[in-house]
Amino acid sequence: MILIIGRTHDDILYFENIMHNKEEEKLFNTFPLITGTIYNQDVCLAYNVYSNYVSNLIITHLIRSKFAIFVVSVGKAKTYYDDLEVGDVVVSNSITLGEVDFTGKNDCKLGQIPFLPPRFLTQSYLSQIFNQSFGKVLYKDPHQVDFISLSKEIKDINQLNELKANDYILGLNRNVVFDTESGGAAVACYLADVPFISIKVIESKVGQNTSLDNYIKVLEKYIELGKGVSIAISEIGRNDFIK
Amino acid sequence: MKRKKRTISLRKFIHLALIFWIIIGSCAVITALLAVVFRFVIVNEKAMLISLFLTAGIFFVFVIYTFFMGNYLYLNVVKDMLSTTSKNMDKFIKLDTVYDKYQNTKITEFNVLNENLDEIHRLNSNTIVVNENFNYSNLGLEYVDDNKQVITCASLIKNVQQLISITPNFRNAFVELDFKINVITNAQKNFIIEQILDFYKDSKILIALNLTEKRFVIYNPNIDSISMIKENAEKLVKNCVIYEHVGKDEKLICPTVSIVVYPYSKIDDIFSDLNYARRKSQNLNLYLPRRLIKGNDKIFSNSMNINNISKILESFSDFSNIDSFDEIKDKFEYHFKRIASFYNFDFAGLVIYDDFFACYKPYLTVSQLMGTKLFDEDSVFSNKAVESLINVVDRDSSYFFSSRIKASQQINSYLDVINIESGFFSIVKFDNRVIAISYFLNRDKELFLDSYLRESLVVFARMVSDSLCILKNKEKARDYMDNNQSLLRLTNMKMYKINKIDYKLVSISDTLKDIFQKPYEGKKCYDYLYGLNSPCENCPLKSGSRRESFLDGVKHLSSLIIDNNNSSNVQIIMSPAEKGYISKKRFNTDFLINSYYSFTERLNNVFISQSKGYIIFVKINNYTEIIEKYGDEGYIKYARAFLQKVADVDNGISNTYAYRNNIFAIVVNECGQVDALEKCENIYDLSRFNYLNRNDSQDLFSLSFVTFRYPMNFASPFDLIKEFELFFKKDMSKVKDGYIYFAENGYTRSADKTEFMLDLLDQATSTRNLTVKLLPFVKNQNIIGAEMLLRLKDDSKNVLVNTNDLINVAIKNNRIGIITNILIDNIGDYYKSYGFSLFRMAGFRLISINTDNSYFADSKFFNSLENLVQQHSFQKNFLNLEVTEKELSEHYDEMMENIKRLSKLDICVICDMYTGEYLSLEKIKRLGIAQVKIARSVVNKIDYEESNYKELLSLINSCISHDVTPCIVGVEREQQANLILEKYPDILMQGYYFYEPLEADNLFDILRKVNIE
Repeated sequence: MILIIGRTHDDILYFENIMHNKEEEKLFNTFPLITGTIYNQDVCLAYNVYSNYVSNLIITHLIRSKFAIFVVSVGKAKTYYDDLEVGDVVVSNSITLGEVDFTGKNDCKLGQIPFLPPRFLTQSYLSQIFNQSFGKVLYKDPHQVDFISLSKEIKDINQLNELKANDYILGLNRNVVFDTESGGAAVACYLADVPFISIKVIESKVGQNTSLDNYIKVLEKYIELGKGVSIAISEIGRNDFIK
Repeated sequence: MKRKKRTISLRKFIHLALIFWIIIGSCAVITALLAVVFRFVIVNEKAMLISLFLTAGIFFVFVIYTFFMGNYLYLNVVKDMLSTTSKNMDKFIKLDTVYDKYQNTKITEFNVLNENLDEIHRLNSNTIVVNENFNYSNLGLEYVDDNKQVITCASLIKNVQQLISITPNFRNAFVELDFKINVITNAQKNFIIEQILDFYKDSKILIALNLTEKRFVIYNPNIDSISMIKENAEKLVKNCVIYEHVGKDEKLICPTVSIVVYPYSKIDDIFSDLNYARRKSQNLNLYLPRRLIKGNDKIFSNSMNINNISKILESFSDFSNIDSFDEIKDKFEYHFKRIASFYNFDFAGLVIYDDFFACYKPYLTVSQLMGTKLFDEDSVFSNKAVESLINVVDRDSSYFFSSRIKASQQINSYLDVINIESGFFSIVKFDNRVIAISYFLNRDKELFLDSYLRESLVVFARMVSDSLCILKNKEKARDYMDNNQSLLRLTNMKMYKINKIDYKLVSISDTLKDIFQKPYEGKKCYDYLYGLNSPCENCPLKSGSRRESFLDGVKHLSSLIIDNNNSSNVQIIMSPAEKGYISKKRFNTDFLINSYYSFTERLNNVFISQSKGYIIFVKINNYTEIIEKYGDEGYIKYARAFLQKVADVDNGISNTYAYRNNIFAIVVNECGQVDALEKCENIYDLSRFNYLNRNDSQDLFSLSFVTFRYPMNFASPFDLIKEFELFFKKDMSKVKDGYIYFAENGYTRSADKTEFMLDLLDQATSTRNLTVKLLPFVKNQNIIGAEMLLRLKDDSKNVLVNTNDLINVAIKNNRIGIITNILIDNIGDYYKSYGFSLFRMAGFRLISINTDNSYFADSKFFNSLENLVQQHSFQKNFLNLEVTEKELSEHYDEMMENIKRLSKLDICVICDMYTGEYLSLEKIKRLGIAQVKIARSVVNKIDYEESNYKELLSLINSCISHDVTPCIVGVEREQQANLILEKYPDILMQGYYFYEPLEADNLFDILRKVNIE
């Protein structure tokens, strides 16, 4: 089964509508799950996934109970630099936990949990499949970006002061986006050895509110994002590469 | 003695009518029986025939009587009863207190009913309608799917009056979600309803469904703040996104939101305002009209919390007597404590901007929770938090949140940091900067306040705010005083203020205190300063002239520099006479403008820089009269005040120079004749006040203006000055009082705009050359009518006079009749020449003229229209009068009457410049108007602003659905025309793209070619 998680209902709305044999349930009586098939592949959609804590919990549970072959996180993200624009589709290259600081232990970098890697890299073969799929629906290739995941929404850019120095943020100076749930999912997938990819649409700059106009732009992009992910699902189904 | 009106009871009247009916009927039966008897029993043919005729006659009378009596009863009794009762029922529902009376006062029962209506009116005028809050069960709402929060849209529209009557003490919001989708499936409908209910989690909200239009209206009977309803709406739409799949197209549909709020919108206007908001076609359309609401609505007279308001407002009056922040602190503390205790707030206080540290610090803190403080005295507030607060406050500068979940996301993290559940903020602004924030907060409890209690908090906050602003103003005034005193010391000038009547000293400057060093209070000026027993003979106050005196051994000149006519006090300034205290070269110290020397220097400069422009000389012709009446000081003061105003137009005295005592020069550099004329007009307008006594319209300056153009052929500034001198010596008599004279070409005209325009108008009407142009109405590429436009040219400026200005002048000076006559005569002429030939053949069926309410005030206007229509036997609705939407809304009732009168003459009224902002289409229809011209502002950007295009389309659709003919005006580009014609090929249009305003002959030639050939 393939897991697709989103923060809000609109994030997974496209997949819900193209899904067949739908069944709905609530995980822990709280988190809505929709299971069914997309292009003959078993898919499980989960939404209302706010924060890395919840994403970690849900994905750990679902990997064990539904035998997930890979996990996709979809939705909206915020860019740090001006190199990305509202409506751009971004695919994760790596994911870093932004609020983690165990630098007291000398062998830990900023953002690294002891005994885990400092960054969770996206499996390159998975990334390649998705890039090929997006090539069929998008005019330009999706941006390969580095995600920094925090369990809070940044209202003021000054909240990131601890992570930045001059033009760098956590050692990166371009293609950096922030989200609130990829980090937890990445940890869960790393520990279970399941491939994970995060594919998002840029909604605004970090620290800014998303205006309704920008939100509409994001919704338009969701269709393309949805199509790209579905094509990738069908490709994976045909090649059956992971099994 | 007043004669008592004779009345009859309805019962008696019907009895009488019935008796007559029975008598006549019986007579008919008896004579018929007699005829039978004569025919069969007595056998008398003649008697039988007579009986038969008699029977027929009586039967005829019986039928006539029955018919007329029935008709009489219907027209005079039943009809009046039904119509008046139904009107009154409507008024009962709307809680109006003034009822219609029954007309038939000859019937006793109707008089009794009228008396009862009076009684109800008296009762209702003094009664408060108190409803059970938020209980909708008795309203007869039509629920959908048995869900008690989901109703039909028709049901909401029908019951909106009652719904608001239930919750009149709160702001009621109507939020409409509009889905641009072909079909909403049942599952999607349920999803949206579930999302809305889940989002608000409030049993008081209602959702009204209009599935045919794909709209959901959310009725929220109690909102906290406008900013919050807006913020919530933004969040809600993101939860209500639905998916649409049509053919190959896939979309995620996010609804657009429109919001209106009662009482900003009147109850009758809620849905039309919602339509207006939706037409704005933004993603979020909030419409809070600023129009004033007529105060005849019972809901506004609800006053149940007046006592509470009074409780809060009592004893506030002494706030204004305070002089310093330290002094006010105790008073504020007392009142903040009272309010906090009355409302049971946990915390209250005031945060003030500290100018010295440039940050916001707590100034006053009140806590009702034992041992808990919200802020320490040395706390500092981040500017970020204050900025967020500025963003969320309502128009009244306050922000209210009944619970933490209802607080704006912009401030809620800050609220969480200080652990606050509910509360109220109000910001105080001074010079566009937030100088203080008053707050009332609760830590663990929600805050439910109705509008009255909330308003009283707002009033309290406003009083606090005003007091702080007064303090700031006082501080400013003190600074100003200190500066003045320093200035006086520097220049060695002295100043004192005395009462005009008894010469008692009111205040003296520090420079005088230094000399005399004795108390001045209660002393008279002549005693204090000169040791005299009576007022000085040459006192400037009496003589109106300066006086010389010795003070501390130094010769001084005393004059009335600052004299406010409305005040009983006057200020006198004493300046040392020996040495110039201000450079004489640069400034004229009498008139406080630039001196003659500066003028010559300026002329030098303009010649060196080779710039061009005008020198305007303003000559005060009656200055000797002014001096005779008010004295030389009076004249100087008068001229100084006047010149100050003249200089203010240029934002300073830089262009204003003294030339002679009664001639002043204004340099209008790098400007043309039109600018010079406008300048003269403006200066003339400024001279229409008596600056010595504002209430007096006598002794105004009589001005003449002479303008000299430079450089022309003058070689140097000296040549120009020589030219001035020569002109003033020889030719000044050419310039009349109140006129402008151009020395370059001898052109002269009145400086009074009104007089000039009237001159133009009279001249134009006497020579009949006031131009009338016609702007065609186009439909399907044919010209079907034209709008008449008045054009008057101002030769001096070589520009067209603004028609609105002209009309305004004409109205004020009773000349409107002239204009209307010209228009009406022109229409008559056109119709006479072409009405039965070209117009009918070409299908030219309307002419319109622009009018407003003031036209109808002139009784001759109606008569002229009547004559025109009758004389020429116009085809129906040929003549149309255009009145703007704003004008119609401002004079709604009068216009309703006027339109009724006009419709009898077969004259239509067109609503001009329509946007829907002032009048809904329902109201337009109610006025009897069947055509609107959509405002230029909606049309002129449609080719590059998609929202404008959508708004226009929506407005056209609304017009069509209301059976009102729309006309699109101001179509100037091909793209605009194509965009409109693509959707509405048959629509009526006007604009420069089709035709510009044409001369009549020209238009009729084109008409012939386009429509016929």
